[in-house]
Amino acid sequence: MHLEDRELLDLFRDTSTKEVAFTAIIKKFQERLYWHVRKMVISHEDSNDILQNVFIKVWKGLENFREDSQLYTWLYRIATNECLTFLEQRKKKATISLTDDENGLSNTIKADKNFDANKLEWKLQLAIQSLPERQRLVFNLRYYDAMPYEKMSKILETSEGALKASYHHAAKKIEQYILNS
Amino acid sequence: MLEQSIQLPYAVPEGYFDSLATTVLQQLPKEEAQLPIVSQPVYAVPEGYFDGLSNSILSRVTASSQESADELATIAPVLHTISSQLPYQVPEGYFDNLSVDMQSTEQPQVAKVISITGRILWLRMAVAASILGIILLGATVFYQRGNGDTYASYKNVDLNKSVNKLSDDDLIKYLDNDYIASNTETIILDDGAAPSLEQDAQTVPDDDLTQYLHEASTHKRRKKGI
Repeated sequence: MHLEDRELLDLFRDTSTKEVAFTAIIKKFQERLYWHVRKMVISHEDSNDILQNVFIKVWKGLENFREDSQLYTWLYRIATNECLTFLEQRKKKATISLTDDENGLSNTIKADKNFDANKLEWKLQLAIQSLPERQRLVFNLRYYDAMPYEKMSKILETSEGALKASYHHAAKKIEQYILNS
Repeated sequence: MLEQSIQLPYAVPEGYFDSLATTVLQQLPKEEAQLPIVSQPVYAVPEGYFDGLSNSILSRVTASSQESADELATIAPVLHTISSQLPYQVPEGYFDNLSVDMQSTEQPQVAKVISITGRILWLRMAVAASILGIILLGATVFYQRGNGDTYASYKNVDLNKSVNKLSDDDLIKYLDNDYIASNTETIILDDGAAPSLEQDAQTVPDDDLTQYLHEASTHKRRKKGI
């Protein structure tokens, strides 16, 4: 059974129970954060690297967590930033090696052992990759997690109106992509 | 036999244990009233709150999902019909075995940072200097080669000194071959083909000769500034 965030934070601040609390935090949030990351970077190996970095940052920064936001929101924000940093670095590397990064993510999808170009769920994944990064983030949070705009606004630090507009635009683009494919 | 030997001689009032719990509970409020601090919770919880809590949370989650689904049905009806199940898979037991490398969370050893900016600057300057040197050297060589045979280079040659250095045999050889062969005037005179001035003057009309002499004297006077 998962402990409440408040209890976890108290345990973490106590040196004798710090590691126990940290392990409990990992267990509590690992799956949600993993899927949040995986939807952005596609590859399991990359997702694992990012998730490790996220929790390392949590270990370093949790003592200074001010609790003016929920622990879950704070963790999501770290994971989001890590994803964007990773994708940015990947883009720079692609520029240097003169390869197309957008195709890189699509190719990662196509390289999946279960990929089936005729199945709608895979077409949907390819369509999502055609979106700009931040729009992709918004779409994933709303479409897969049904996250309210209010909560999303705290994670992405963007107004609810802008997020709603972004989601609507993304959904229409994806639908068009699927209809044309 | 044994049971009889450990039997106590005391008797218990009939039905004592049956009513003990009730008796203790009846006594509790009296004891608590004697305590200086009341340990009863200060905050009141609405009646039936905990009974309905799970349903309340579930309805909120469902409402959020429903709201999201309704929104999608309005803006993208085709997308709404597609399953939102992710097709990706995770290696078996990944979440059970997930652990963060705690050594990575410790402060990493700070390696000595050597700036390569300075080195690059020196390297760039050295390359630039080399290129400039090659260009200058090439230009000098080109200039010397291109202009080595010009009139200016011969102008400074002392002809008398150069001739004095030559041996008599060389001079005779030169006069016999090169000089005579190249002196067309001598060839023409030796050939006897060129007309003499006297013969030529006899064929020229008097008027032309007068005009020529007049022009020649005018030209001489101009040169002398008269």
